[in-house]
Amino acid sequence: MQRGSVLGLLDALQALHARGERGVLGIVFATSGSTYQKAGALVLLDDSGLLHGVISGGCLEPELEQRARDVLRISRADTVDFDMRTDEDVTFGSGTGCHGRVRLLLIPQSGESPLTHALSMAANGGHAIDLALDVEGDEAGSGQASVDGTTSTWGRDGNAAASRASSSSYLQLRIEPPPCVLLLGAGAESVPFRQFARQLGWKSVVVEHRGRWLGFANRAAHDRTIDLAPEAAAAVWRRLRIDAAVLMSHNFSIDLTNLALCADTDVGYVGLLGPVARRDKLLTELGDATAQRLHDRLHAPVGLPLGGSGPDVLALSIASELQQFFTQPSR
Amino acid sequence: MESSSLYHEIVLRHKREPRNFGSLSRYTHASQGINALCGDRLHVQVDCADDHLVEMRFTGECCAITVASASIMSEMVVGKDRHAIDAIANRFAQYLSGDDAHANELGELCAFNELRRHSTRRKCALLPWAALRGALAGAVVATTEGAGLTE
Repeated sequence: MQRGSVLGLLDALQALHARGERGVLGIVFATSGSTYQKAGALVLLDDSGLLHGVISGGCLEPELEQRARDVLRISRADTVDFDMRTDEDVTFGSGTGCHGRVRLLLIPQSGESPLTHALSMAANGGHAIDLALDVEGDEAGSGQASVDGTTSTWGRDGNAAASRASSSSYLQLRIEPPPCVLLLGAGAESVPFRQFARQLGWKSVVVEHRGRWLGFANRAAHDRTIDLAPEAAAAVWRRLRIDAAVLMSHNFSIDLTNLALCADTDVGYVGLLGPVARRDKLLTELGDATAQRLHDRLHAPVGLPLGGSGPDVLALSIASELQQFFTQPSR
Repeated sequence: MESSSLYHEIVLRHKREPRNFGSLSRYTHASQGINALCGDRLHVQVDCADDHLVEMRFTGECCAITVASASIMSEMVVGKDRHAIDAIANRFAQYLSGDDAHANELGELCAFNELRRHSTRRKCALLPWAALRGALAGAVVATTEGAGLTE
């Protein structure tokens, strides 16, 4: 199954480059009205068409694919403007009737392209990428990327450029890294959870040192498995960028230790599996001061109340609540 | 009324009240045009005599552009032979690509002018022509991919 988000896009781009081929990176840089995607969305195309990501429910992609072929043929970036706000567009154009507008840059990418390297560095290192994109005129498609203090610049052909062309139409765009979820404990639900996470383009790290449950962790093929007891594992995962932690060890003592460890971090979402009575008992054991530090961040019982039971439903309810958390405007 | 609005109105009029929509009780040629992109299927039946098209009907659940194009086509091709029909189809395809050389011969087909800005929808307008040419060539199924229309 293909990974979602920029992670899957980079997988596809890497495969393309390994064959000595080039791709075209599409960056949605502006939208208005009702649109399927918003600014910052990425798609990857090549001569054969769309390889990863979408910008619509399928209505705009054929035109986009054609434009991407043109970009590859002349090795020069271009802008695409899908304006679906007119009655004429319903009849002659996209036919969506959405009355929105989507504007993209299409930039050719070889294995050496600075933007490809910057995206890879950002996604793999858990950093945001700050883009300054020229979106109009003769230099449309050239730009600059900054990741964790490293800056790179490219020209309209997507290749490295010594400096940024002077332009008044630079547009600033920040793309956040894929969220990383820490699973403190593996179980039957961690396998389907990993599938949801993978499809949604999240990273997942699992902490599990008990042999019986380690099998669940290994079966799920998380981005990283930390085979250490809670305290020792915390020394490892505290060095990572963690956006959410889910305590799902099914063991009172391990959950208690992990709750205390999470309380001492700034992880914004701490989910706890199990019933309310168990949660209250754990918080009592933790003591008021520690419990207070978790107060605004603790989601217990973890997950949205979707109804149903079993590991798949549980995984879906946790993934749903995390999706809500990751996309809330205040984050 | 601006020409773009007029063109839009022509297309919508043919979509709402297509000419020659339906089936023939007797026909000499038939074909099904398929647009893989949007799933449209257009059935064309024609009755020819002495190498000239006498009557044409079409059916199908298609987008406004395809229906309007088929409707306009059904009025234009009566009395024409295969070579004349080929010529109109090719000129129409050229027109959609931005070539105005034969625009004055295309009549209401010029209403599809807006498709010059939407290249992927051109095949919707060309589908009826591919189906008709397929029928005259003896093909059961025709698409805009292999219909020989010069775009």
